[in-house]
Amino acid sequence: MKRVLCLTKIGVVDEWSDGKGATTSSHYAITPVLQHSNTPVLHRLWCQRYSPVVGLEEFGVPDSLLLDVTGCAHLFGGEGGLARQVAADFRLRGLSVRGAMADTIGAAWALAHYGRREAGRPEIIVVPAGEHAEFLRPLPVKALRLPAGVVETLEKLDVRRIGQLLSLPRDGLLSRLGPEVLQRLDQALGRRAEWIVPERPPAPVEARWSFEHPISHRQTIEAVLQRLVGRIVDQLASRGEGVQSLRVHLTGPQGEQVRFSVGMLRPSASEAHVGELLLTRLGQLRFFSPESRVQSRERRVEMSNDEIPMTKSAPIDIRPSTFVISRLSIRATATALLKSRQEELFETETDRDSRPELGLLIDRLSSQLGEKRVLRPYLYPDAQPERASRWQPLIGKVGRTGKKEGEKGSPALFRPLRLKSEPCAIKVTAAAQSTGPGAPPVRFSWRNRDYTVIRCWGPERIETGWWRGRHVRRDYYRVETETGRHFWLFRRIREGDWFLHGEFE
Amino acid sequence: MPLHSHDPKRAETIQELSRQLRRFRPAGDGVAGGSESSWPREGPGRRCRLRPATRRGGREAGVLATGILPLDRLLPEQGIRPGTLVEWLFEGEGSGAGTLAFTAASNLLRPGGACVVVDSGREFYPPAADRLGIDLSRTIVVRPVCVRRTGRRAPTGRRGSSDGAKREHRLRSVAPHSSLFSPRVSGASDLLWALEQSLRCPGVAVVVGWIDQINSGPFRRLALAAETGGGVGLLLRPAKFRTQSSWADVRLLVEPLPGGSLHSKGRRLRVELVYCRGRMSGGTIELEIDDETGVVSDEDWSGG
Repeated sequence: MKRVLCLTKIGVVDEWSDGKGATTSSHYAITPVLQHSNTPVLHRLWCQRYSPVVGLEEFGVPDSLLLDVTGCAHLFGGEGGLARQVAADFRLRGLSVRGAMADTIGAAWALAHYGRREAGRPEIIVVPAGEHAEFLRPLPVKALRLPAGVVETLEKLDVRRIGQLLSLPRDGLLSRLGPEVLQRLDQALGRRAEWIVPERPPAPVEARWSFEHPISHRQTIEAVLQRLVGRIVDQLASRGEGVQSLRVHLTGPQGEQVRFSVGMLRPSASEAHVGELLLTRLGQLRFFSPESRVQSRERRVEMSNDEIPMTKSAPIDIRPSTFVISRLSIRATATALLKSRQEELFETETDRDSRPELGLLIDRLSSQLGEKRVLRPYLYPDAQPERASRWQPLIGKVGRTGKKEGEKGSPALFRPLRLKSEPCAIKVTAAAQSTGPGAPPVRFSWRNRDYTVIRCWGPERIETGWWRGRHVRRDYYRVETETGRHFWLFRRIREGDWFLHGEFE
Repeated sequence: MPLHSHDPKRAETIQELSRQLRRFRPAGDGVAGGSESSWPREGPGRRCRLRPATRRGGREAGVLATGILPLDRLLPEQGIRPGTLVEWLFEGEGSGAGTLAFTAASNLLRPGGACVVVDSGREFYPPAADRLGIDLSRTIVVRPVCVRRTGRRAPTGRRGSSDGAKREHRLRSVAPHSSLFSPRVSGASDLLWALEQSLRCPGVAVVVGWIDQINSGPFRRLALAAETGGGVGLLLRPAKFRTQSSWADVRLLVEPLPGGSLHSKGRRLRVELVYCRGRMSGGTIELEIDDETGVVSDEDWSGG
């Protein structure tokens, strides 16, 4: 007996608080995911773990997945277990889902979209085998996936439920409403066959090269890598896609592997650009071979008598030329459609922001220096100065940066342009005469130099919430020294010690 | 550079034509009444330039205002020309040179393009730059590996996560981004490389970076990169390098001055035009930056 699972209302759940510390009220917004046929989206939804046959519905704008789960339920402890597993997996990834399992595609679709759900009932309805007809009767006629015009006609005739439609003579339906109504009825009841058109995962885009003999010649390796990049680019060009990230495997004769990845800001179809990034990463590799590991063990024994040995894991740096490779492979791990751009002979100033050269620069910087060293800054509403800004790599994994609203209410220039990553302890040798314990500094020493404060602004008290655990309580002062320099100092309220946190450069 | 007839690709041909046409840019030589167009009489080694037909408001076409009026009056061209380097020499920490540089950068960004901040010291603080007018959505911060020697022993604990006492450390090296990759002992080459690449990119309007000792060869490369990219490089450098040769088109020395106006909360700075390529240098201004409004006004201006 055939069993079909229909999943719909798949969306990303956005939850946010009202900004009052601990979440007192939450708001949800669901962003639909399946707006169009998008194979990468399907596979990101991992639905092939439930069934080998996964397809998109072909009615209207597809917003449902259809899975043929015939013979699959026992792997999940039964159909109920399968439904619970699907719902739990989607929930775990922050996705909402509704669905139904029945004998036919039509019945599953109808119940997934229009089946009644009460509070506390599961998101996925499981209809027992052979009972889908009874479950369909109370549903509205539009649950049969009929065109809007036919639904309107039926409603004018006061035929609003599928049960009413089933009681009407078939010949009358055919003559008055056309063949589609009968076709959909038969598909829903299982009298007419309907198939799921499965989505096939795209073949991985990769290129390989095996050497007859292991080689270590750097120029040869680079030439082969360049050729493999060309093959990758050609494979993607036929789809109108560019490569956005690559993974390279260098395999030695004994199976030892060296792997590295290269990412790009925008998909690229330029063989020269992608090759340049790969070769830049290749030039940064430290190669290890079994010979080098044997050498390092022997050397540690020799060094133990007369020299202080290096740490246990410290290898000896071997020149790349001694590493031998027997196989090379490159795989495109992320691709995207290329955007066409009209070539202009004379650029306008407004074009400068969208120039493709900027993307190439970011790729080059990230490839040479590392993706975590090419960043975009974001402001973050946090009282603690070290946390008032966040950093996000321009290439690679994009994490949450939080809200983009910055601090409000602070005077325009009361934040230093350079903030020490760790506050530097200073010695305040004299403080102003004041009745309170938080007297501003008059003289302090830092980096073996003495400074005399001639003007001071503050204190600006900065405290963080107790719920953070290690909260801070500081009084900040902006000071001007006798030479006109401006620094940002703070005193820890509880401990009373002083630190220099920034320079108003 | 001649256009090779055997160049196969149309896109490359268009780019080469665009690059060659961009070389023809207005230039003034300080001579009054420059209303005639004339071909230069220089030798074959000089670039071909067209004299501008009109001058707008005392500033030549193509020259960008810094947004700091007294500073614009100090500069011979009333602003900064795209494709040039400006060196800001500062006397020690907290001098105010960075404030002026980033204020100028915010105005240089207005026509478009990105701002690249090369921050090897990892001390650049975005909230302050935001208040100086830098559009952070168009800002890229590059952090090359940095090895520097500072005060005393190494810190413990997570960076910036607690309020505990931290001390400066003797030697701190930023870890390589992967154990598979060669760790970099010296970040100077990465810093200069990042500056050069950023200056060379036509999509970048302003590059700001802190530099230290730099030889003539790499400095010349930076100047050529700025000329190629068409952006402006603002290089902040300690004043102790004032006597060293520089390939910057403009050199400004920024000195902090103690004490402000009687009722203001501002800070005072003295800016001296140490050098300007092809023009008379000299000239000093004293500025006061108002903390409340961020307005920079001049107290005294003496021409050079």
